[in-house]
Amino acid sequence: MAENIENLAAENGDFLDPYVVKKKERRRQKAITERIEGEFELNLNAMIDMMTVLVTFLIQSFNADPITVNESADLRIAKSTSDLPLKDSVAISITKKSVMLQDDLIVPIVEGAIDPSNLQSAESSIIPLLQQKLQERLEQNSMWAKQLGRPDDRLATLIVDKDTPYKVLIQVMTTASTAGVQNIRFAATKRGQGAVVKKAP
Amino acid sequence: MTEQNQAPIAEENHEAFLARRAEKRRGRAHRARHEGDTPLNLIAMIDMMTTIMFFLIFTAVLSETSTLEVTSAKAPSAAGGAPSDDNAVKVPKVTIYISSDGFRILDQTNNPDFATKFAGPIERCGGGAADGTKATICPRPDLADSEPLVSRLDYASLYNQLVKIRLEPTWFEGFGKDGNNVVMIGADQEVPFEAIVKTIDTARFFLAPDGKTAPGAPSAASDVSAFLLGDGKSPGPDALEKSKFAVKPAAADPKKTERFELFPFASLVAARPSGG
Repeated sequence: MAENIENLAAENGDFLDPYVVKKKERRRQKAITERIEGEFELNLNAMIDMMTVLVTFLIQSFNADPITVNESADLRIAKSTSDLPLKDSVAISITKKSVMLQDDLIVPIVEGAIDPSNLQSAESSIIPLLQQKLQERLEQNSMWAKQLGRPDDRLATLIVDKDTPYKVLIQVMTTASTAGVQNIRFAATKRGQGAVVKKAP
Repeated sequence: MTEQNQAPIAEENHEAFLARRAEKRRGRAHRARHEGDTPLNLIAMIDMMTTIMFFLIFTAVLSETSTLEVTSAKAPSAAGGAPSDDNAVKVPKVTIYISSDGFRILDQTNNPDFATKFAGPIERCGGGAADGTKATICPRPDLADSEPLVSRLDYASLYNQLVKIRLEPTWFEGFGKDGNNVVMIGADQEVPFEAIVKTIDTARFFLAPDGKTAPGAPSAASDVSAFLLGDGKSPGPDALEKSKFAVKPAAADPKKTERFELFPFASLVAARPSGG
């Protein structure tokens, strides 16, 4: 061992802390012994480094929006340059297949239209079931706002599939207004103005 | 040396081998403790990090969601606009109607000047006065009718027409007053929601066309052509997307910027509006 220490010191040409040299020598011996006996330790340092970076990145990008927009094949939201953030409000989703209040299915959409049996009358734009549930939800929200001393803004956020026909949108918006919604916002994926446009092939 | 050492291990009792290894590890741990070389047990931390990582990956939303504020769908006459003052110049209630023919630009107040100057088809679409048969801005000529409507609509020409309306000296000041810079939007029943959002987006702010220097603050005396895309003739399909917002330093904080409002508020209307 003493020879090894001297060799290492000679190789480096510098003063070496005997403790460091001893430690290095011990590790070398340990590595030789382990190799001989078929025992080795997995070096996890690189993996831990990588995981730390990933976790930090994911925590930073973790979205704590008051409304969760879960895009799927039936719900692809449009893009907008607006930078108005999402606000805690009643969420009404219009997907390709249904109209939903928060997570509750209200009425189905078949071939891009709401069945007239789910409307107040054939000519009406009001969806009675949505109106009733929305009124209940708004009353609940008003009660909470009163108790918490917050303003009751009667806001609804519409999470609308980009292919939704205008007719269905107007039916839902008219129903929301009738139920007492005073402000409406559309959820959209934020995009920048002035971005380079990708041309279709 | 390797073969000599390995051979007895292979032959000897497995339990004896394990006991010797455990003893060796104990000895190593003992030595390490006394020599200050304690290995850190990272297994628990790796377990925890793996769990957190999977949770975050599954719940991560990498695209940012924003919102667009609109007023509720009401009858056209009830939507937008401030109470009118009889002595003031009547400000047009600009309405954009979207159909498969393109955009129709209408005025709910039936101002004859508006109908003559802005409601008729633009030059590319035949020109002339508004007669109710032709759209103000017809679809893009470079795309076939079979393409989706949302792609065929000419948003860049719509932007140019809105800029001309907004900068018209007669009513420039009137538009600046609260509640007048609302644009009403209506559409045929089958028009997709994406076209509505793109139309609202197009109408919201002034742009600095095609990456040119900012044209300055819009005013009644502004040179309209400085704000127009594609020099006001036939803006290309990418003209709108390539242009950035025209901005000025914010009054509150000069390091920040503010945009110039064109028609920042939108109101959706249910019925097809009349007027021209």
